[in-house]
Parts: sequence; C-alpha cells; structure tokens
Amino acid sequence: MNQPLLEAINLSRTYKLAKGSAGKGKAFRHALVEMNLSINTGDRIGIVGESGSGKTTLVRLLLGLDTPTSGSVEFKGQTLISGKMPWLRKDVQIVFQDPRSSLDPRMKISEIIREPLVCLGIDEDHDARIDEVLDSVGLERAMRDRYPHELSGGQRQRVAIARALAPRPGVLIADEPVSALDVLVRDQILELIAQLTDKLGLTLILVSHDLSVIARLCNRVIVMKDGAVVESGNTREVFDRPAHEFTRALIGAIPRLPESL
Amino acid sequence: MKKAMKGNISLITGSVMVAITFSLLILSFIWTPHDPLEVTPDDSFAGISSKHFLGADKLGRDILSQIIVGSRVTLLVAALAVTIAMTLGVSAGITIAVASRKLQAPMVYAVNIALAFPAALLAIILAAVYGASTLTAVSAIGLATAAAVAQVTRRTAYGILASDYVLAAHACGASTWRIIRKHVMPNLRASLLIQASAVVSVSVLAESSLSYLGLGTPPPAPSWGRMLAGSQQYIFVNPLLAIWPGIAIVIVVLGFNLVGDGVREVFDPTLRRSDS
Amino acid sequence: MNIVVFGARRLFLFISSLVVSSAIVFSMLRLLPGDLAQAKLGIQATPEALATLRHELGIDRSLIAQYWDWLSHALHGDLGISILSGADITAEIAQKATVTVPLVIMASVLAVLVSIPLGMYAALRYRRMDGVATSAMSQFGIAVPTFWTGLLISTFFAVAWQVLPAGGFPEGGWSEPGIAFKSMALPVFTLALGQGAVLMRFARSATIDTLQQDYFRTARATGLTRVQALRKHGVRNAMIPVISVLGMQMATLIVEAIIVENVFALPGIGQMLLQDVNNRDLLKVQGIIAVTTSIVFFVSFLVDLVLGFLDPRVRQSA
Ligand SMILES: Nc1ncnc2c1ncn2[C@@H]1O[C@H](COP(=O)(O)OP(=O)(O)OP(=O)(O)O)[C@@H](O)[C@H]1O
Ligand SMILES: [Mg+2]
Repeated sequence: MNQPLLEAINLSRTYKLAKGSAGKGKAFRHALVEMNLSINTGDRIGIVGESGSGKTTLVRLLLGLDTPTSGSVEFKGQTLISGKMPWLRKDVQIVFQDPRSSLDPRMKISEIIREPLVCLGIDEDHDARIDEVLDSVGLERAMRDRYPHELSGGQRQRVAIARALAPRPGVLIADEPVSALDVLVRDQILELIAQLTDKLGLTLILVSHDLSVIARLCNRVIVMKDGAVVESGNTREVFDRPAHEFTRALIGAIPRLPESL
Repeated sequence: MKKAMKGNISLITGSVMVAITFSLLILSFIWTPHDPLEVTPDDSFAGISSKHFLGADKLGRDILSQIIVGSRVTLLVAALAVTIAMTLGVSAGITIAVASRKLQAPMVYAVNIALAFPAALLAIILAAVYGASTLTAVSAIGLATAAAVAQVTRRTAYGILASDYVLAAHACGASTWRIIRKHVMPNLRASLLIQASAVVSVSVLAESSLSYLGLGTPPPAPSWGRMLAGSQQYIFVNPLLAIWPGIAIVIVVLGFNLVGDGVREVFDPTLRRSDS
Repeated sequence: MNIVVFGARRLFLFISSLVVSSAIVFSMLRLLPGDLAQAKLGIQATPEALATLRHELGIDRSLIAQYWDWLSHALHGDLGISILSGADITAEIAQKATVTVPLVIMASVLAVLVSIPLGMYAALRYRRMDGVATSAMSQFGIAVPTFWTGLLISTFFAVAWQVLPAGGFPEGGWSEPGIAFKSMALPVFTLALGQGAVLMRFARSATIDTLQQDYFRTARATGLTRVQALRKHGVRNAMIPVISVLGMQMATLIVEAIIVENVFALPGIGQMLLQDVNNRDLLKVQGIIAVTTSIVFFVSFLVDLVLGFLDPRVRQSA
C-alpha cells in the first residue's frame, strides 16, 4: 500500500482553559479527539463543520504550528516535531482566514512574499520569483512597494496566496480563505484558488463553513463536529446521500445547491 | 479625525517645548550671557535687568546662564538613563515574551520586584553606598525605569507574538530571532517611542528631585534642582530665583509627555486599523 | 479562580517579594566599598581596630549568615542598632512613622476624592473648553516636580499669606492634634496635588470608556440624564482603575512623601532617611528601605485582594 502524503494519527488536542471561567478546578476543552485522517497527493479535501468544531485546531497541527496533546502528524512518513522543519514548510503552505491580520502591517508586499523564500533558503532569484507569483495571483508588479493597509481586502488575500505559493509547495492549506472578505470578491478568490490548484497540480485542504464552496472546489469532504469526524467521503456522494443527520442539517442550511450537483 | 487632530496639537506643542530644551543645550556650548559660575557680589539678588535677563542669585551669579548650562546635566542624565532603560527594558521585555511559560513566571516576578524600587529610592540606596554623584543618579534612574519599560514591552510584545502574521511567519519557517527582528521590533516602534519619551520625563523629574535633595550631580556644575534648593532660603529676597528653574523643568517634562501623548493619539488609530 | 486560592497565591507572592527584595537591598549595601566598620572609624583606623569592630558587628561572617541573622531579627521586629547614634532602629522608625504614615494616607484619600469627580467631569465635557482645560491641568500637574509645588505652596500659603504653617510639627507629636494637623495640611495638599493629577487621567479615560458602553446607553435610554446615569454606573468604573493605579503608585508616593517631608521640614521617615544616607548609616538605611518596601508590597497585596473581590477578571489574569 502506498504511503499517504499527510497523515493524522489518533490526533488529539486539549486546551487548558483560563482558570475560573468554569468555576472550580481546571477546565479543559477537547478541541480535537482521536482524529485519523490521511491525505494523498492530488487530493482536494474540504473540511466543514460548525464554528468551534476544531477545524483551525486541525489545520495548525497539520502544519506543525501547534503540538498535539497526543497522537501525531506525519508528512511523507516523517513525524512532525516542533521547530522550523524546512522539509515540511517547503512543501506545505497555508493561507489564513483574515488577510488584515495575517500580513505584517510594517512590511512591504515584496518583503512579505520574500519571507518564505529567505527563511526556507529557496535557491533562486527571489525578486524574479516575487514578480512571478504576483503575476500568477493577478496582482500588478507595482504593488511590491506598497504596504498591506494600502490594499483592498481581496488584494490582501491575493498577497497571502502569493506568499504561500512562493516556495512552490505541493500542498496548500486554506483556512476559511474567503469568510473575512466582501461577498463580491469571494468568488474571485475561490476562482483563483481553483485555477491555481489545477495549474500547479496542488494538493488542497480547504476549510470552510460554506458547503457550496467545498462542493465547487473539492473532490473529498470531511464533516467535523466537536473535534471528531462524523462523516467523510466523495463530495458528490456525501452531498447526495448524507449518512449523518448533522450533515443533512448542514446541507439543509445552504440556500441553494449548486447546479453542477 | 478629532482624535488625530488633538494628537497633532499635543505633538506640535510638545515638539516646540522639546526644541526649546535642545536649543538651550546647544546654546550652552556656544554662548551664555555670563560665566554661570562667575561671582559678582555687587549683583547679589539682582532683579531682571539688561545685565541679568533673569536676575542673579545670592553670589551674583547670572540665573539665565545657570539655566542654560543646567540643561546639560538634565539632558545628560536623561539621555544616559533612557539609553540604559530602553536597552535593558526592551531586551528583557522581549526575552520574557518569547520565553517558554515555565521561564516566564520567574522573570515576570523579578520585574515586579524591581518595580517596587522607584528611581529616587534606588538612587538613595546607591547614594548611601557610593556617595551621591551623576553616576549613581543615572544608574538608579536607568535601572528603575528599565523595569517599567520591560513590563510595557512584554505586554505589547505578547500581543504581537499572538498575532496571525507571526503565526504566518512561523509557517514560512522563520526563526525566533528573525521574528523578533522583522516582526516584533518594527511593530513595537510606536510603543517604544512613547515609552522613551515617558522615560525622559521621569528621568528629568527624578534628576531634579535628587539634585534638590542633594543626591544628584554635585556642585559646582549648575543644575536646576539644586538652584531651586538654593532659592528656598531666599525666596523673599528674590522670589524669581524659585520660579525660573521650575519653569525650565516643567517645559522639558511637559514637552516630552506631550510628544508621547501625541505619538499615541496619532499612531494608535492606524495601528488598530491595520492590526485587527 | 477561587477567591481563597487567589488570596493564598497573592499572600505567597507578597511574602516572597519581601524576602527577595530585602536580600537584594542587603547585598547592595554590603557588597560594596567602605564597609560599616570603615564608615564608623574613618580612614585612619588601624587594621586591628577595624578587625575588632568587624567582629563585634558580625560583619566578618559570610554574607548569607549575616542576611539570615538580619532577617530573623527583622521578623521579630528588631532592625538592629544605629551604628552611628546607637539608637534602636525599629523604635526610631516607628516614631517617625507617626508623621509619614498619616501624611501618605491623608494625601491618598484626598487625591482619590478629588481626582474621581474631576476626571469624570473632564470626561463628560471632553469636547468642551472646560473639559479640555481640566485635563490640561492634570497634564501640567504631572509635569511639575513635587518639590517645586511644595516650595511654591509653602512660599505663598505659609510665608506670604500665613494661612497655614510650613512644617512646625510639634515636639509632642499627635498629643497636640490641633497643631499637628495644621502642620500637616500643606504637605498633604502638596502630595495630593501630584498624585491627584496622575489619578485623574485614569478616572477620565475610564469614564470616557463608560460613556461608550451599552449599559450606559441603556441607562440613558430609560430617561436618566448623563450625570444621573454616570452617578449610577460611572463612579465604580472610575474607581477600579484609580484604586489599582494608586496601588501601583505606592512606591512613587512614598518617594514623593520623602521629598515633601524635606521641603516642609517634617520630622518623618523621609527626612531621617536622608540624614542617614548622608551619614552613611547603612544598617539604618537598610532598615528604613526594608520597611518602606514592605509597605509597598503590602499595599499592592491589599489592592490586589480588593480588586480581585470587585472584579473577577483580575482573578483570572493572576
Ligand atoms: N488557544 C485556545 N485556547 C483555548 N481554547 C481554544 C483555543 N483555540 C481554540 N480553542 C477552542 O477549541 C475549539 C475548537 O476551536 P477551532 O478554532 O479549532 O474551531 P473552528 O472549527 O476553527 O471554528 P471556526 O469555524 O469558528 O473558526 C473551540 O471550542 C475553541 O473555543
Ligand atoms: Mg477556525
């Protein structure tokens, strides 16, 4: 059997809550409970679930930005540890939810995109690469010398995508990449992600509240509730024959199913 | 809009006052109406005149000249203290912020203990041991304010380290050192400017108080605090003696406070807009 | 966090801070040139005489042994004997404290009583001339050194207009309450002025916050005037930061009290401390500093408890 690209094994994450909020003793939040997940090269996985179901927690663990309480994450068979892990970061990159907070307000756009190139020691002409990714996310090269606050929300998210793509990763994780954006630009950004995924042959992990977004971009879907997977499978199948009541409720919440289904 | 305008008023007024202070300092090296230490018994307690613009003290020394030259001690102490306080305070604050949780607690504890020793108290302790001098005043003021700077820097740095853009930098493989240099420091800048101006104000107040108590720079170098101490006895012979040095101190302290306030009011809204 | 656990933690913090800070002061005063024996006998003293005195004073032993000795005596209220005057240090501090403690307490109370209404006023009218003037006044108050205020106040009130005396605390202390109170009036006023200016800023910004809160708007919507609504919600909200700042300011306040005592020639701890510093009476300086820092830590302990009681959020961030 061939090895999965990215794999979560019995992954759990329990947060210790600030003392006092729940009265006496120590309080814990089990954000992720014994999660198993394997992602193969070329997969386009959508992760849905209500707010607080542990999606962001999972994403952080998959990126090695947080340490699991128990269990582990493996990338190409190598277990993630805390630290810089350039072997992981060169290949797995992330686009955060809110581009207003994920771009350093004191850095120029070019410096923001240069960051992974420098930190990961990417061996090519950085300036040329910056221009190249700016082109591919549809931003003018002249934006290089601007600061994030001089850009619109949609443009900022394009910068975040450009930063993620700069080191030529094979896996792109996007944690609700459009939920902080104006409704009008959401489609453009999703379109861009879809198009780049195709063009670059990326493995995509897309987190969203919005099932229609997942339906459009992903071939596999995972439904999460209270830190565990309640249902997973082929997107079309899950949508057509949701096995779990919770999934049905989620689907019922979509105003209108996309035509393509 | 209103806020930014008000900030500008503080900033402008404050900058003017700071500029006056520095002009005095520069002037002290170029020209003073008289030698500040020149004793002329005939002019004892002279009032305002074309010879002594601000009058003269008991020994007939020119007040204006003493005030001009007195700016040296004031600003020297402030400059050294601010250097010590910012260097130590900022590095300690950032170190605490990036340290692991287990190490944080004892360091925060140490800072809290240091905060119980305000500048003047520390200066008194040092003066008891070494005898009062500019050096004891500077070290005491610098060390005492460093604790306060560390406290504020730690809190601000915490906020920055918890931000999404630092998380994003981690995801790009940035090292802790790079994150401090490229993300924490630039985003701390406005806060550091505000703190530095506060430290200058505190230093000037502390230095003048110490000089007044006789624990600052020893004579003969003129100092505003000591001029006021000397004026107390003769306040009815020449009340102006007790006015001028006080005004000088207030201008410096108010000036730096207003600059700090101005920076806060002007920078804060933009910081908030681009951070959240 | 449970209030008892919170209190116990704070108590531990308080006590350990005392031990650590006194150890620091102790070593600062001992590790340095010109030891106690030298200070007492002068530079011309013979080495034999120095050695004998060192042995008598117990300063030929290890630093830790000395500190332990000092601490265990201090815990029993014995801070030793002044090397220069031979007087009992604890007794002297206790006697001088009858001036300093009332000075600090009265000034704090006055500062709080004045700064809260003024701060609220400045907040209510922060777009009007008088509100701006009020907060400009506090800016000015912060920038004026205490000793200068004291100097000017004593000049005008005591010497020129002779309303109240500058200093002249009676020999008999509080057994002559009338005279004692009168002689304290100007120093208290001076000290409160500086502190009040600081506290007022916090009262003002807390009130501005309150004015923007939903519950304040609701109260207004039920028909209360701004002043009525503020009386209902604003006073407590202004009080929390003012009390916590007062706690943090305690160390500064004591230092200012030392200065004020010297301006008004009040025979308190501050004046004594300065004399001892000039005399290099290190053991006594150490005793005085230990007492003042204990007071600082004790006050911040009390303030923490009070705030923890008033505001559960304080307990969480502990
Ligand atoms: N740092 C933290 N400390 C304590 N609890 C946390 C922390 N981060 C997340 N949680 C809790 O863990 C649970 C899962 O959070 P997570 O952010 O993973 O949810 P999510 O599915 O991404 O939600 P959303 O859709 O709102 O982004 C939530 O109940 C949350 O309150
Ligand atoms: Mg999330």
